[in-house]
Amino acid sequence: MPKLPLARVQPGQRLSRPVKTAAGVVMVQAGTELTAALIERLRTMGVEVVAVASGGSSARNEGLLADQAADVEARFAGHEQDPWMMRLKAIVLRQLAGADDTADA
Amino acid sequence: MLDKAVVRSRVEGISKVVTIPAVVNRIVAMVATGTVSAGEVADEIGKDQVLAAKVLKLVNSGFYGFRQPITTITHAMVLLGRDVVRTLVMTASVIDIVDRMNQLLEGLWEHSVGTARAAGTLAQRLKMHDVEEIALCGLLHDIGKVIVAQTFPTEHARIRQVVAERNCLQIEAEAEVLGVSHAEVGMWLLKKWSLPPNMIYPIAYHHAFHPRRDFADRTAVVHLADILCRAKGIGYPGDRRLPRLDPEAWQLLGLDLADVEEVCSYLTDESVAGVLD
Repeated sequence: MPKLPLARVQPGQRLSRPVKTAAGVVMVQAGTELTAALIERLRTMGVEVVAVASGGSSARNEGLLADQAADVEARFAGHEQDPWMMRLKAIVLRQLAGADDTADA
Repeated sequence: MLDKAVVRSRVEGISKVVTIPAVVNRIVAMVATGTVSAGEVADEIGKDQVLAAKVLKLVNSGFYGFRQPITTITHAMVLLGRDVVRTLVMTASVIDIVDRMNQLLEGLWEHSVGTARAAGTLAQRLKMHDVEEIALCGLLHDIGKVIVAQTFPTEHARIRQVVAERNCLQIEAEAEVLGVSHAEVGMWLLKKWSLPPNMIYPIAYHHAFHPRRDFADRTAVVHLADILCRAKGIGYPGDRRLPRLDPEAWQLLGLDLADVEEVCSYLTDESVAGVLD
C-alpha cells in the first residue's frame, strides 16, 4: 500500500488508509475514492502524502474492513437496547461492506 | 463557570465582527418586496462576481438534477424561483465564513456539509417546502461549536478534554464546562444575523426536539440528518458517540428505514467533498 505525495495522486485511486489529523481524528475514511475535488480539498487542508490502494485486489483488504467496522461499533456504543439505532447500525455496516465490493469495479 | 449573560453578550459581540455581506442583505430585502423583477435581482447578484460564481456552482452541484449546466443567474431564477436563489445566495456567503472559522475544528466542515446534504435529501423525500433552506439549516447546525472555540478558547479546550476522558457527547461536556450548549450559542448568533425563526429553531433545537414547538418538522429533519451523517462517519463533529434518535422526531417525519437506507447511501466522503467547495 504505497504512500504517494498528493501531487502524484490520480483521480480514481482509493485511499488505503484514512487521512487523519495530527491528533488522530479521521478526516476522510479509508476506501474513499480520490476524486479531483477531494484531492483539491486535501491539498487546501495541507495534506502532503496519502496512502493509496495499489490495485483492485488489494483494495479488498480484510483488515481495513475490520477497522472500519470497529469504528462503527464504537459510534453505536450505548445504544444496544434501542432497536432503531441497532437497525441503523446494520444499514451502515451493510453499506460499508457494499462499498468495499465496488472498490474492485 | 461563566455567567450565562456574559457568554451571551460575548457571542452577540461576534456578530459585529463576522457579518453576512451587505450584498446578501440587499438581495434578501429585494426578494422580500416581491415587486422587483428577476432580472433586477440577478443584476444585483452579478455585481459580486465571486458570489455569483458560488451560487451557480451550488445550483449545478447535484441537488436539482438539471441535465444542462445553468450558466447565468437569470436562468437559475427562471428555473428555481427567486426564493430558492435567495437562499442559495445566503448559503454561498455563509460557506465562506463558516469555512474560515472551521479551520479551528478539524472535520466539522465535512460533518456540516454531510448534514446539509442529508437534510436536503430528507426534505426532498418528504416533499417539504424550501428544501434549500432546510439544507442550509443542516449546514449551520453546529456553527455554535465554532463560536465557542473561537470566543472561549479555555473552556473549549476543557470541553475537548472532558469529551476525550469520558467519551461523552459534546453537549454534555458543554453543559458542565460552559453552562450552555453549542445549539443555544448558534441560536444567539443567527438571531444577530437576522435569520428568520424557521431557520433558527431547527438549529437551536436539533438536540432538544419537541413535537409541539414551532417548526418541529424542520427540526426533526436536522436532528435526523445529524445522526445519519455521524452514523456514516462523515467528518468529525467533536465527539465519537451517536446521540440517540428522538422517537417523537421519527414519528413526526413518518419515514421508514428504507428511506433511511437510501439517504445513507448518498452520504459518502466522496460526495461531500467538492459539493460546496
